[in-house]
Amino acid sequence: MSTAIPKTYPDPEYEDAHQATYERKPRYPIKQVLPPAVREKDFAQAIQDFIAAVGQDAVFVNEALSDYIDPYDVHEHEDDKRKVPSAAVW
Amino acid sequence: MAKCLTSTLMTFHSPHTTDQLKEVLKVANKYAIPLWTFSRGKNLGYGGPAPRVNGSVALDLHRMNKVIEVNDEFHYAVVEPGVTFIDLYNYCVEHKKKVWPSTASLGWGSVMGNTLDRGMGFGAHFVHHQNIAGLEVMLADGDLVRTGQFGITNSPSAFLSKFTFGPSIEGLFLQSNMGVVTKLSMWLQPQPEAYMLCTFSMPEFEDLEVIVDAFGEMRRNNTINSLVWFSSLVETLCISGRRSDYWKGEGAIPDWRLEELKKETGYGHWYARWGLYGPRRVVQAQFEEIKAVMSKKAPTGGITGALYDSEGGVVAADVPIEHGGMFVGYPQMWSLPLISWPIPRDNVGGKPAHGDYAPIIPSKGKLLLEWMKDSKPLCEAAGVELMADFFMMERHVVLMNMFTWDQTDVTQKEKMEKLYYGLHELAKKSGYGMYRAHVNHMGEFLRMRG
Repeated sequence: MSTAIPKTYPDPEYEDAHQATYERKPRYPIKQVLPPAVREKDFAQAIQDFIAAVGQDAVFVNEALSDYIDPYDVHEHEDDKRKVPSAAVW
Repeated sequence: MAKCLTSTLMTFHSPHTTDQLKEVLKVANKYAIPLWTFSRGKNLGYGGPAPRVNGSVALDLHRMNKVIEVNDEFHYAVVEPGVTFIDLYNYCVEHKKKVWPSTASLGWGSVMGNTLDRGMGFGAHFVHHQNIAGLEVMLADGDLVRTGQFGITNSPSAFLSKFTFGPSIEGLFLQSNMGVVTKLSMWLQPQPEAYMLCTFSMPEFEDLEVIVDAFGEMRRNNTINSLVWFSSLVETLCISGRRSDYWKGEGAIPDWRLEELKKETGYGHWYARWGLYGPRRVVQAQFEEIKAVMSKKAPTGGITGALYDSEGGVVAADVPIEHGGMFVGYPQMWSLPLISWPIPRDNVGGKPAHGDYAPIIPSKGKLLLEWMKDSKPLCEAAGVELMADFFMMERHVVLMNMFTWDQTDVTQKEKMEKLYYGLHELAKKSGYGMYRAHVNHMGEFLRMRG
């Protein structure tokens, strides 16, 4: 079980810049959202299917989504306007 | 603390392949989940990796990062989505390829992501999407499509020609969600025998008109066949400092203080920078012609040219950074700290952020000056200076009205949102579309269409 997002750049200068830009602990925690018109039960099943497709280390949810939000979002403090993914697959 | 979802014991390889991508698309189809695809997620200022539709699943392709081919006979590269500008540069150095791949201002972005979002570099091949020859795309149903001559399995012209038999379809996959691009070919600048970094500066705000008209003409008559990049005084200042280094008062630096700073630093109000690439005698002839044109049309301006030449080809990394960097395709991260402009040095908790309003405007001095004059008071009302630069093509420019703020300050964020809409109203009045839109604002640009 992985407890951190793996590094994305082999070069330390690039990785440091990446981590400084995409905060590992966003000031406004990322709340779980569902894809439009998808029920929670189906979404949970979809996550299992994504894991079956790419592996458990390649599907991210909740706080592991910090690399997938806009670090400069002017609406980060407004849940109704903030844009966040429901999950990430790599 | 970040964690992976681990509610199954199944282990698989991570999705480096189109087969795995196909499986991901199958799952998304089964549950009707929208996917938001990106390669490196560095679309900063336009939403970064955040999805247009809230709740989409982010499809991160950064681990598909193979450089498939770099060819220095015909000068092109074929890359997967995750290849960054620095990756491609390093590959070329390591394999002694005699090419200078174009790079965006920051080396961490994806070559493909930038190109598909109509991004730009700084040399003769700077309009990246216009240098695409063939694409491989996976459609939503898992079918793989190859475009142009790349569609012919054994074509020796797969990456040499932009000709298609029948309709061209590459455009369907630019700034679009109609497929997942898995391979991209891009034409590259041959490593030149000679390279010259040129600058032209003018002292006054109103000088913009003459400088744009003169360079616009030289772009069209092919005296200059590479990017001419224009930047303003405030951009020049932010390279060497922060606002608080120059101004202790509230809000934007006022004009009278900018005039003082101009005198103190010796900077011009406008700077044009461009590279010349090719055989030495051609480069020198180009420079002589430009010098003659500008001394006639803009005698108060100052021109410089720094020439580097080598019979075996100029080595990009050998050009000093002040004359090379992105102009020779040597990827950098040096410009990232520029966005710290609004953070006072004693504000250690501040977090720099930036946005851009980026209209397409004809290369006509009168129109550019008008845009600067009209957008300046909007910027100042939001507490920021007019921080504008623009990229000149043959017939139009892509202008970046950049604004920076402290992301930890809600009031500043509100002001930036208001500024964005102010600039949008200005653009709408003149009929200026955007080269790229923020995920929050894509709908507004689509609605500009009649």
